[in-house]
Amino acid sequence: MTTIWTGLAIGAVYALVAVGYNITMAQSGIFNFTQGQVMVFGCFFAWFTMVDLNLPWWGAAVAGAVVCGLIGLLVELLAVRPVVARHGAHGHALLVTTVGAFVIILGALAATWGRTPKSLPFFGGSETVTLLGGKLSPVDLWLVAIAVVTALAMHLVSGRTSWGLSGRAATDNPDAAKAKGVNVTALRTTAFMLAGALGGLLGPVLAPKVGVSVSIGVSLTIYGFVALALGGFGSYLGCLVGGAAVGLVQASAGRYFGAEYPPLILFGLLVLILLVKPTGLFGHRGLRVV
Amino acid sequence: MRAPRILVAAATAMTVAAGTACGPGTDASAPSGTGPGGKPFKIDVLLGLSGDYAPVGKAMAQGARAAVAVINQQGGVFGKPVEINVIDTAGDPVQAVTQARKLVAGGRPQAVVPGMVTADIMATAPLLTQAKVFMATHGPDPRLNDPKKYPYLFGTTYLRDQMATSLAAEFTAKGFKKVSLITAEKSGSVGAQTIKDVLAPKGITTNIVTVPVTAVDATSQMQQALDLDPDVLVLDSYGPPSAAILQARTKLKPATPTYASQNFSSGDLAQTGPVSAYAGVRLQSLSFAVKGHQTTQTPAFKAFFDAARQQAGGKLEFSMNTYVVTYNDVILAAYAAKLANSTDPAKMTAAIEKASPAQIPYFLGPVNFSPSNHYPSFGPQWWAFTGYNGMDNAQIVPAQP
Repeated sequence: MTTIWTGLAIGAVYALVAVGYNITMAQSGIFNFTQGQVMVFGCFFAWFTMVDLNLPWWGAAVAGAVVCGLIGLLVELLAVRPVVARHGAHGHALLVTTVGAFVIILGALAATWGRTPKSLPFFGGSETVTLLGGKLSPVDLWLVAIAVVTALAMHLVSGRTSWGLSGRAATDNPDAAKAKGVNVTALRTTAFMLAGALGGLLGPVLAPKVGVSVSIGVSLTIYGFVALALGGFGSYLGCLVGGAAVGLVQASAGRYFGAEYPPLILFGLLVLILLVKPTGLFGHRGLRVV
Repeated sequence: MRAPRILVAAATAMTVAAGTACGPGTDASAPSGTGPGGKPFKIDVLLGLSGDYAPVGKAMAQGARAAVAVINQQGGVFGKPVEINVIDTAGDPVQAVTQARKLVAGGRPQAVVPGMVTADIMATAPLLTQAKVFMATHGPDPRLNDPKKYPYLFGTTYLRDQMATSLAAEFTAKGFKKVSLITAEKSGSVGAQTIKDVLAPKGITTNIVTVPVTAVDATSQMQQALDLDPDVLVLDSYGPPSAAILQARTKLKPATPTYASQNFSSGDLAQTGPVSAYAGVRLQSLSFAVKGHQTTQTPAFKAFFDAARQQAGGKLEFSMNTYVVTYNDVILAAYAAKLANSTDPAKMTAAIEKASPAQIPYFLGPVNFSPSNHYPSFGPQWWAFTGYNGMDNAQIVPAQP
């Protein structure tokens, strides 16, 4: 049971990254490659504000949300908007510019706080909890709960608010949405800011789990994408399922076969699912990035 | 990512070395080799002062400058203050080779610290050897301890097998027969295999479990390590996965005795986890990194410690090893010239090969070099096993038993 809890906790991390990806996907149809790195920035920022500035965890979360929301805004303004204006929202150029922004954030983190890994104790304690016969840390419980609540909340927002519904309309047919008075640019900008803010808000919980190190950016980016692709582009509940699948495969394959096997199994599974269902398990027909 | 860089560096070094071999002999530009009465003795130190590992490179430079301060307090070399020239390589083997090439092109340097990390050192050592340059290095790769291939290169740190021998003695004394060792995938595999190879003749079997460097959780690997019901668990990683490994141990709370090898202990322990996470963990460490150990009570260590703190602005932020390695590099190079009374690399080499500990009093470690062994042999007295109760100025504060 410990392996299952471990898988669900790792899966919760990837599900949260996938939710971040999905916000910009669902609202603008754009895959934001920087999301995983923005979440790493959120971890560094939480460490900085809680250890160096002695802010309480909630203060660090709010400050992180503001700063990372601004980073999301900058990414949209500098790496996305000019490309969309010239090539539209579905060109390969966007992939290049968001990868460029990813590298810039990585470089800024390494230059500011270095490559030496740091750790941040979890504000909720570290005493091991035994649940249904399996061991898990308090931070694991928090992450699973946060992932479920966040995915459900975003599912409701996307389906029941004018912002969410406008996003769907803008993604399906931007020209038609514009003709109906939808401000597509504002939708895209707010989506990038919200995704960034989510990364910063989660810093005080993510950092104690994944550590504070530039090396984890690649893991978050790749496995967050796998979670999104498995679960389905455009579906927040799919992110949850995809994240759990990735986490459970990583934990069980890592334990029984060794560190080399989880990526092989996961990408094999990904290829299989995308061949059968290119939008992922619960994805929307209009959204594909592969 | 690392292996290709090493390959590029090695290829570059080979190319440079081949080019040098085809060109004019380096002796043509070499100085006379006599130091006394000439210019001050100068040591060129290749370190990554910019780039990803800049903070570590800067701390290493502080260690090197501390050595200069100590030597100059003792009258310097040839009656003049020693000088060092710290050259930025950005922690990149290709840039290290470029800088080494520039040094050689400007006339043979008197002594060089040939790089910051193993990849740099492995890349620059052939080029500098070809140019007959005396080198003092903290590179731990056993391939560097080859006086036939690198006649003017001396190591100042322990080699991996010495660390493993110390662990083997401890485990034999405790009666452990079955070891589970958890380390970083790829980067930790060579060190882990060395430990396995050294433990095997003692009748101790080792099961190696690896954790990806980019892992966000190491619980599965820790479970895998514990599944075989080992007599002892060894944490051996350095860098990013160490925190995940320690966190997994905290979560699973195994009753198995746990050791952290010198590889693990030389990392930033305070950043790897809180003091409580080390409960029940015995740290293997070089003895002078443990606060209060008898090897820290010597005048040599006190001279180093005071000088290093002064260079670092009062507080040592990195692990003790970070400062000691370059300190020892500079000390050894300076004493080579001092004992030889010359900057001729052959004479400097001969002087170190027959030096006694009393002749190099400020070297932190054993002085037992020989014509066939250019690295110091760190025997049992240089290793400590201790509990952890935090850090104080780069020293491990031992936990009360």
